[in-house]
Amino acid sequence: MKLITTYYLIFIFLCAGYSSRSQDTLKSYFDEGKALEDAGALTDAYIFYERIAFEANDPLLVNMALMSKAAVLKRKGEYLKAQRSLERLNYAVLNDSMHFHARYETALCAYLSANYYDAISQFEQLNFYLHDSNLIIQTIPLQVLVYNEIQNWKHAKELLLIYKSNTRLSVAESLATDELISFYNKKHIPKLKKVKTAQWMSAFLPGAGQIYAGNIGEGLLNFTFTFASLGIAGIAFYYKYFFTGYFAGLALFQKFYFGSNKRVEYLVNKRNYLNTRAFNDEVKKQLIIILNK
Amino acid sequence: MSWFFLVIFGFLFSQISFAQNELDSNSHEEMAFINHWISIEEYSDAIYLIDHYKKENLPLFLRDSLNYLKGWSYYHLKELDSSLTYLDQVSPASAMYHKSSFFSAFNESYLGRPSRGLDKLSNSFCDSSYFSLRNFEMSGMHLLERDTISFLALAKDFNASHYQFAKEEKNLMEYYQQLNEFKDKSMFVAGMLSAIMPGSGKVYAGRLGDGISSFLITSSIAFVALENIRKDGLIDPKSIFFTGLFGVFYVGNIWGSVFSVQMQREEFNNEINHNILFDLHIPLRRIFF
Repeated sequence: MKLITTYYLIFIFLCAGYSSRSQDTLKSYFDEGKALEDAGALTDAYIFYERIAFEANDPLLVNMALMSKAAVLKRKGEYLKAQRSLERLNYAVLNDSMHFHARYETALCAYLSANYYDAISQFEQLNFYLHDSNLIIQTIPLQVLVYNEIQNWKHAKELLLIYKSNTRLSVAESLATDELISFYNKKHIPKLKKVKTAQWMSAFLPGAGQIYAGNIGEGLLNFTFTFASLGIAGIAFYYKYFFTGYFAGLALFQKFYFGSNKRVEYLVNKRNYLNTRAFNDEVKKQLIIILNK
Repeated sequence: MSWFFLVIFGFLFSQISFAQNELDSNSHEEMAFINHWISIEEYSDAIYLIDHYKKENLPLFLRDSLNYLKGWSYYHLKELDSSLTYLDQVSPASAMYHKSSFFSAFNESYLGRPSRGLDKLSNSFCDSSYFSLRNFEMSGMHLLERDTISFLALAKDFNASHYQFAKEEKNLMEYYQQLNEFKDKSMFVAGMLSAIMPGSGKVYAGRLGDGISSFLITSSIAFVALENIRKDGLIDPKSIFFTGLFGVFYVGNIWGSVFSVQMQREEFNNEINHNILFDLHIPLRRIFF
């Protein structure tokens, strides 16, 4: 009997090293991660959370770790990594409110990392999987920002109207929302210029494309140079300097005429970008004021 | 009494074993965790973790694993110099040794140092199962060095029996043929031809479009200059301007023709090198993944 006891004791000692890390220990890791965050060691903190996600067996715990990691990455301004972290969540084990929170955060990180269509995909999945309209309504301000960025201002305005009619707003909030909706009018919504139109205009009247793109001075200068080179060619031909007229005058004309085609494309794109930015930034500013009221 | 000693012995043995197991288990967990970062394609974080791993008194297998993982992460970040620095430190005892040495040699070649790649492959230990791959990689590196004799000596063993690089063996032979058939043009001849007829030097260098365009521009300016000289004399400001302009274009064209030979040569070499490197890389990815 003594011998058996002894062998049991030895067996217990030998096996002690193989005990695995318990799930309770993993839970306590969150406190450690939080402490690292508080100490400002953000990289160590998100690595810590990833470790929990890596070691945990409980999918809920994995999700919690990935969400904590994403929050730290967001705090660090690494939005794309935060988005990728949230895309690894297991939605099957999340309740509706967590599901909403996870998708909203993913969409927000996608918006912040300029992956607008990824953000839209998250909104569409929210609409598909969750049927709680109160939750969906909360995503509208973010949706407005995303649709603004992809220049679908019509849909952004429709969303704002839905937001206003389905949300209990204070008088001040309601007035500010009305003001924002009224901002989506023909006067303010950027009128996107078309590159093709500008190029056609420049083809018929040199410099007109630049003026259409909003660069009046450059358009007038291009008009002057193009016709001056044509004038040089004309004068040269008149005085029977045929080669000079053809090669010097017309070559210059050709350079100014066709060169402006590329230039006009750049100017139109630049103008569209600046106009879009100005409008979207203003909406963002007003939206933040409404949400902070 | 003897039972007492047996228990004590068992306790001490288990503690030593426990400590050893814990070290192994912890380090395996750590390696798995670092690997996990690589699998989620967050290579900078994998490197961060390796940098913060306690490195004192590490057993060889762990040092090897860390060096391999760090080199591999740098490889994915396309920081090839750093990558090969760590891959080179993986010892022959490691399971990752062959992968590390092949990729290190490839990195050297990619960085324009095929001779170092060759040195690495010829001086490193190579298991017989990798002889054919080493032969193939070294032949490609000889071709990168334009050492066709050494290439042919190794290419004798190409037998298309390894599906992982049978096609690439054929490709290397084609590149060898192309290199043989490439006729190097003379910069002097190109310059002379362009001096006689503007643009012809570029046509000789194999740049037909450039040659025609140069001919048209230079001859147009020549006609303009001649017309002005004929009408207003040589001393007229317009004549001086256009003659000067012609001179600039004429000399510039000769200069350009000389360099177009060099450019043509560089473009050909770059394309061949790019193709060789591509064909050296593909089998490594096939075999070591």
